[in-house]
This record gives sequence, C-alpha cells and structure tokens, in this order.
Amino acid sequence: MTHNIEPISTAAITDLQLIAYLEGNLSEADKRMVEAAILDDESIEQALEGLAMLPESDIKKIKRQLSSTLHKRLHRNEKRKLAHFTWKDALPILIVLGIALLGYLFLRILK
Amino acid sequence: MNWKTYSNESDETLQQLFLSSHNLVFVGILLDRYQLLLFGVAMNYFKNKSMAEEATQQIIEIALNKWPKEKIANVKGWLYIIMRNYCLQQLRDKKGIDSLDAKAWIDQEDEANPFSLSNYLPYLEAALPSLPANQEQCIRLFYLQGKNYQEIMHITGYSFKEVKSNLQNGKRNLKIKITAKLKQHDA
Repeated sequence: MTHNIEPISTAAITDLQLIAYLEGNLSEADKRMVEAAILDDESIEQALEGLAMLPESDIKKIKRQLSSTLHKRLHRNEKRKLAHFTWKDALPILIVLGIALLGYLFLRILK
Repeated sequence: MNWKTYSNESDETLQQLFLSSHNLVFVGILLDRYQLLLFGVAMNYFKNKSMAEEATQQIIEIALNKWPKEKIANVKGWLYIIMRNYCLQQLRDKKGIDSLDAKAWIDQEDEANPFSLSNYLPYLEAALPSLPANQEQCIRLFYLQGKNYQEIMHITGYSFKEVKSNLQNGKRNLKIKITAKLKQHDA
C-alpha cells in the first residue's frame, strides 16, 4: 500500500477541464484532481451533477452557445459605448491640443 | 482587442488588467472560463435546461455590470456564491423556503475554509478504522492508494454514486474525528 501520495491540488478548475473530464479526456493525475475537487469544492460537485443530467453531446454545444452570447454581449457594449461618444468626451483632449498649438504659434512669432 | 492574447493569463492577472484599464473584455475572459460551471450549478438546482440558461445569463449580466473594484481572491468561488444565491432565491420565491433541499444550505465556515482531506493524510491512518467498512475501503483507495473513481468502482463493485457517497460520508466523518483530535492536541 502506498502511503506517500502527495496532497491533491484542487486549484481552480475551468470549464475546459470539466468538459475533458466528462468526455474522459483527462490524464490520470488531472482526473484525480477533478475527483478530489468533487469532494472538496461544492461548486464542482454541483456543476458536474447538473451537467450529468444532460446528454453528453449537449455539453459542448451549450458551452459554445454561452461563449458566443458572451462575445456578442461584449461587442454590443463596445458599440453602445461608441454610440454614446459626444464632443464632450473629446473636450479635454481638444483643450490640451489647443494649448499646444497656441504655444507653438507663440514660439514661432517670437522667433 | 484580441481575446486570445489574454486567454491564458491567470484569474489574478486578468482582474489586475481590468482594474487598471476598465476594459470589460478582461472580465469577459474570466467569465468565459466558468460559464459552463455556472450553468451546471443552475441545472442542478432547477433540473431544467432553459431555466439554467436564463440563470446563467442573469449572473453574467450581474458580473459584467457589478464587477468589484477590488481583487477577488477566488473568482470561481465568488461566481458560484452569486449563482447559488440566485437559484435559492428563485426557488424560495416559487416554492417557499421549507421545500428546499437542506443540502443547499452550506455552512458558511465550510464555504470560506473548505476541509480538504488531502491536507490531513498523516492523521488518516489512525482515524480510518472507526469508519463503516464501505467508507473506509473507498477512502483508503482514493486518498492512500491514489485510485480514481472508475478504478474504485472496478475494485469494489460499487456504482459511481455509491463511490461518491462513501467518499463524501467518509470524509465528513473523518473531518469530525480529525478536527476533534487536533483540538485535543491544541488544548
């Protein structure tokens, strides 16, 4: 019997590791890490129980959908930010440029 | 900004990048790491795919709008707690608190400081014989012999659920015994 097994690291497990675990694509060490996390980390336990309620073929599809929705949402946010851009937002930059231009003209006149 | 450039950065680095730039793409990369986990947690509570999808979108919206101004030590844990509370609130609104599964209520102390048996291996051997035989066998195979669930199922003939339940109950019982032992030492 082996008694000197190293403590198992249950560092943050991401979606990609969960998918690989459910598909049986993890190395033995990583598989044990996920299985130790099932015992130590309620979020992993609940997530795997929840995902096990769905057909395995659905899991990757759901992940793709979630990622795509998130990308679209962030893209929309960016566009909204640009749509709200007004001259007021550019005012500080215009003031600095104006001062620089005046300074330049002033120096040229002095010469 | 190219999402892929930053997709291998740690949770901590991404938070730092967001705090210094206020660019939500960094939060997006973080959220994309744990979206399926959040969906799975919601699925576990609601047992319904469309409700789980709706809950996940709600939590993403909350996280994008209200990401904290200070670093979070455990991003996954933080997102999980928001999702869990959201699910419990929804179920409470629907069914009334009494019908909730008692297991859903987690001891706050455990949540902040989970008991990991892997950190107490030296105390295991002495405490193991006090467990029921099925729990002792599964704990020995998993923690002392380094077997995974499938191997334990093969050796013992137990189902996946039985292995998990033996490990969880065994762990809970060992926690009580080891904590008591450590307190005796401290006294």
